[in-house]
Amino acid sequence: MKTDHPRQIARRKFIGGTAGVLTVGLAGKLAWDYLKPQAHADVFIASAAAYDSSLENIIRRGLLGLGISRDWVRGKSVLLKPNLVEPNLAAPHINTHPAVIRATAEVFRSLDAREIHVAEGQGHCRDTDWVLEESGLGPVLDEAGIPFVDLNVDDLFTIQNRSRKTPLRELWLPQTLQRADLLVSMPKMKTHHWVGITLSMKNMFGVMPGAIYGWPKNLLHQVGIAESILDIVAGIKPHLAIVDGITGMEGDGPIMGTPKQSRVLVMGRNLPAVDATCARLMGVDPARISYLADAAGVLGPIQERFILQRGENPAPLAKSYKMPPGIVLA
Amino acid sequence: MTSSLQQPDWIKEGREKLLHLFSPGCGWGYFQEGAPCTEPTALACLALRAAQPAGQNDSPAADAAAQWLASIQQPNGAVGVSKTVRTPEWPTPYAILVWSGKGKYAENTKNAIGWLLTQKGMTLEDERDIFGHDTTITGWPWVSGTHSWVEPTALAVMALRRNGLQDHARTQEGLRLIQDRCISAGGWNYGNNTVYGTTLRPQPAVTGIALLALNGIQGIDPIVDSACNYLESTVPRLRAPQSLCWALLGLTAWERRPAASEDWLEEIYRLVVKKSERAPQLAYLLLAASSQSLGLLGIQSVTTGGSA
Repeated sequence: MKTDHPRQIARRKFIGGTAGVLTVGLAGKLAWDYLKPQAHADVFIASAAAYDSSLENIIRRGLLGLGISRDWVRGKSVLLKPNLVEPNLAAPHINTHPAVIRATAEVFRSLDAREIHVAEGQGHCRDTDWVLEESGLGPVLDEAGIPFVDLNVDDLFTIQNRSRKTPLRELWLPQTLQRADLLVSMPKMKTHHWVGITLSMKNMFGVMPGAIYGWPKNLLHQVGIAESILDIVAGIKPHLAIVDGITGMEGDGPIMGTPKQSRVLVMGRNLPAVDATCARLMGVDPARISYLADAAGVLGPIQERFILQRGENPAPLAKSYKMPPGIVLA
Repeated sequence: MTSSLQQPDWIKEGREKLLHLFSPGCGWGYFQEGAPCTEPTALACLALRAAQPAGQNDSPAADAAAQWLASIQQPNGAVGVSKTVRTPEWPTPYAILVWSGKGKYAENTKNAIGWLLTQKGMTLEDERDIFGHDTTITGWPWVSGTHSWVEPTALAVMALRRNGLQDHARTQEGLRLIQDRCISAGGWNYGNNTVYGTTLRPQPAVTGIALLALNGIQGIDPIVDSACNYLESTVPRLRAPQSLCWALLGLTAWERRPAASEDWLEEIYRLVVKKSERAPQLAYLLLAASSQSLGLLGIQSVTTGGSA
């Protein structure tokens, strides 16, 4: 019978013990790396008086404040996803302002992004050329030489819906997402008559192709708007949010509300944290927004104590947004 | 509108460009290098026929495209978004319009219509305090098992009317849905006229498609007038081929085509080809310009289509 020498035993125990400690330590480190964004996040609030302000400087400062450097951006393909849900020349407060989109693109260009695209799969209107015309974004992109991708009719791929807040087993997505190294959600700060407020998380509805989900994306409404938001954000994991809150929308949003001057841009790498901060800037408790409450601790933090507010102090910038008629918050 | 006997140069050129974008053995995609899909293929096929020089047969590309659509038809009669994306099947009415009147596709047409008639948008009870429309009317959805919307309903109605089913109960109910969804100030959007009491805004493309589907219906003058007024005020500044196409065809169907239409179409064609060449945009402009288009979409005659 083979027996271990006491010294060998001791050595094995030592090695095993050390490995165990290292394994636990490594696992802990990996777990922390994984969980940290869910537990803590930085959000940058920048004052921006108007759309003719020096938005590039403001956004650049915000990105630097979030630790986003040239090294992080260099050589990457950047996809900017604004909110263009329904265009109307007379109501520019429906959509992300073209000046914010262009300024963001210019900042990423200056940080040596390999390529920049703007993309949307707007929910209420099939004619993307008309959306670009009517929103004023088309001429701005043409002038800046920034290509636009219609996500409603892009070629497609699927991913498994691992989060399963909805019964959908898979999510159909536009192939353009696969080409992007950095996906930036660029919503408008608005109220929303079905879910209370629409910000960087809800804006991700717009990556879901209309060819699969319809116009409006009724299939997603039917399986639950809040639940769909969680599945989509968990599935595609956007890298950054830049919220256009210079002129927001209060009241009967997301389309028929009235303009509200918040004069801020809000930026961050964790979408629930950004949206929770925006909610506070709108005078709304994020815990009363069901999809934010459900995202808390899973996709990111929403409680103030877990969000490090950078840039401006949020309290003096907060405005009370009128909620849409008929909305009942949690 | 332009007859096939006196085609301006831009239509001939546009037709050539559209043929150039054809993927042999398949059809057309939504954008260059995009996978062939049912909707752009059907639109291009209809546009090539509409802009066909007088006395010529279908171009080989249009015929091949109709054949490709037949090849991706599913056993239940439906036609999906593309060969590989089999559901949803909302493009089926487009395939029906392509096959209609072509004897070799009679069986395909029959099967597709059979499937279309099985499709019913989900109705909702007791939602009048939220939505302005009657949520109990059955039309057609974009995606099976969801609510009915204006555009898929209008397309289904056109496909059915094109095949002599104007008196079918489903056609009639579809027409009722379209009328019910009109916006009080004139026109249609995707299909909500009011939400929580707020009147929503119309959109030109859907308004044009709805007007086409309603063509010939008697006793709806206020709806038609207000929709045409909306389009007449909108089209002079439209530069988007899809919206312009449906808006002009809708106005044409009700004898209100603006006199400057042909000039606008040529101007916009020049702008479009300068920027990029995408099959749907070319197809929309050719359809909007050609006098054959209404017939291909099942519009029997202008304002005298009879009661459907």
